[in-house]
Amino acid sequence: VHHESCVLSLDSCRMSKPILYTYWRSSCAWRVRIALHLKGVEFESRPVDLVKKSGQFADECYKLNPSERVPVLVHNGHSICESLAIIEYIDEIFPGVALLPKDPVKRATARALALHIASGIQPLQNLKVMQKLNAEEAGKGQKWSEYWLTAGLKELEKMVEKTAGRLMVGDDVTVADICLPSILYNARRWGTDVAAFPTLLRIEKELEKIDAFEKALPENQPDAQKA
Amino acid sequence: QFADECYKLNPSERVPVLVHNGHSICESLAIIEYIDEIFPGVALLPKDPVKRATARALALHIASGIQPLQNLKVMQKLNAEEAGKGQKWSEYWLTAGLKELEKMVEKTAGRLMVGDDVTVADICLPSILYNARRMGTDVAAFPTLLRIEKELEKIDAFEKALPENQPDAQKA
Repeated sequence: VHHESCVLSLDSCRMSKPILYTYWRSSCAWRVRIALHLKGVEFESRPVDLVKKSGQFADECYKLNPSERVPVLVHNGHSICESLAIIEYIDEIFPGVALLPKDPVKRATARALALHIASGIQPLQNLKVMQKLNAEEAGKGQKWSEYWLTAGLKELEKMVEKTAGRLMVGDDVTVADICLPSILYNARRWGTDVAAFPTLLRIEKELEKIDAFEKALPENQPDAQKA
Repeated sequence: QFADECYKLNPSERVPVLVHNGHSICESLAIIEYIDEIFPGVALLPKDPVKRATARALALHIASGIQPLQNLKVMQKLNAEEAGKGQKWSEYWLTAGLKELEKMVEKTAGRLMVGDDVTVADICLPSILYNARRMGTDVAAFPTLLRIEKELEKIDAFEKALPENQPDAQKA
C-alpha cells in the first residue's frame, strides 16, 4: 500500500477515500462498516479471508496489523486498528449523523454498552480463542462461546432495560447500537437462546430498518459465502 | 457494604464503577473518556485525530484484546475445570497479546506509548504488565514496554494508583 503524508486541509483529508480491510462476518469489521455507511462515506472494501489466512489483501493487512486481525482502516496514508478506535475516528473526521451523544453522561453510557459487547463478550468468543479450544477438543469452542455470550447478553439486557428509548441509549443511533447486530448474530450462531433478551431483540428490529445497517450485513458483503 | 452497592449499579458485578453527580458509569475506558471530557487539567488523549485513534487502539488492544481473556471470571471458570488451568490460559494470551503490543508500540512510541505525552494507552500499561508477571509471562521479551513502564513509574499519579498503595491492599 502506497502511503503519502497528508499535508492537505482537513476538508481535503476527508475527501480521500478510505480503505477498509474486512471479513464478511467479522464482528469487528461489521461494526466499522455500519459506521462508515451511517456517515455516507464511500470506501474501498479489501476482503481478507481470516480462516484461510491467504491472498493479496491478507498479506497487506497483516503488515499493517501485527495482531493479524480485521478491521484496519487506511485513510490519508495512516492505518488505524481496533473497531471502536476506528469508529471514534470516523465520528471525529467525517460530517453527518453523530455516532455518539453530545451529553457526557450519555456518551459514557453509549461507550460503556459498546465496550461491554466489544471487550466484555466478543473477545471471549473470537476466532483465535475458538480455534485454540477446538484444537484441544472438537466442539469446545462452541460450548465456551455460548457460555460467555449467554452470560454477557444477560447482563447487557439488564443494562439496556435502563438506558433504552427506541434504541440502546435513548432514541438516536449510537456506537452501542453499532455493536449490537454482530453480537446477536454470533449468539445465534453458537446456540444461545436469544429469546431471553426481548429488549435487545426489539432494538435489533428497529436497527434492521436503517439502510446503513442493511448495507453492512455479512450476506451483503463482496466476500460473503453461502451458508 | 460496598460490594452490594456496586453490584446494584453494575449487573456484570465488576469494578470499576464511577458515581458522579448522581450518575453511575461503568467500563474503565468509558469512564476515562468521561473524566477527560469533564475535568480540566492534562489531556488524556492527543488532539490530533490520528494520534487519538492510535492511543485508543493501543488501549483497546490491552483492554479488549488481552485483559478480558485473563480476567477473574475466566480464570475462575477454568480453575473450576482443572487446577492451574486459569494460569496457563492467562499466560498464553498475555504472552501473545504483549508480543503484538511490543511490535505496535515500537512504531508509535516516543518517550511514552504514543509520542512523548501520557495518553490512555499508557494508562492501560502498568496493570497488564503486573498481570503478565503474576501469570508467569517472560516480560523481558518486551523491552519497549518495559522502558515505557519505567518512565511511567516516575509519574506521581501512576505511583498513587499502584495496587500496593490502595486502602484495601493485601500483603502478598
